[in-house]
Amino acid sequence: MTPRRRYLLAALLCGAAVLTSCATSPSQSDPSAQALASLAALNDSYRDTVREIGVAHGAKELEDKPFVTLMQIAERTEAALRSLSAAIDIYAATGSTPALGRMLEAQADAEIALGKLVSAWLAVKPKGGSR
Amino acid sequence: MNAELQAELIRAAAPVVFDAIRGLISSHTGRAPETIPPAEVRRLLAAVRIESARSIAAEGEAEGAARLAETDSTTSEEG
Repeated sequence: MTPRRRYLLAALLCGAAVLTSCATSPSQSDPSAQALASLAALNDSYRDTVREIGVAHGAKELEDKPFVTLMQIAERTEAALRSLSAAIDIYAATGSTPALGRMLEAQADAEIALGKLVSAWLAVKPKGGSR
Repeated sequence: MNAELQAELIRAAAPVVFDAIRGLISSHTGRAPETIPPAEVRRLLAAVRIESARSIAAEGEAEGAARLAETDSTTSEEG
């Protein structure tokens, strides 16, 4: 085996080790921290998407009817994010198993709500984008 | 490089890379995920501001309208 190949093999093995470590990372033992990171990421995507929708409507690239529909979906996403935030708060305060279940459920709901918003927006997004 | 040395290198490098990734994860919350006490979770949670969809869209609309006005004025100047 040439030194270059050895190096590549070592790099690959390192990558595999990292992936394995991540799969069993201690961060998974703290669901509230995971949910918190998820909330922050979902909130960023939600904000970017709604802003894009607003820009497109303001620039008259998006008509009123699809805009209204998208805003209804955006408001459901907002509500899901607020529910997730409340669920994290309750879990952090109580640490109870039912609160944990509710938090994980709220996290899944928020992910689905954002997915619906993004896919609805992509379906009507003007060509060339509005950013 | 012999196999033993290679294995040693891999063992030495993996935690370094793993720490770097954990660093990226914790940079999102400010510290290592497993060390966040509940009070800190609640403090960090309060920092995640969920704005109303209406107000975000209104901001975007203002930006879009301004962009449209700018495009219109440029087009009329060119015309």
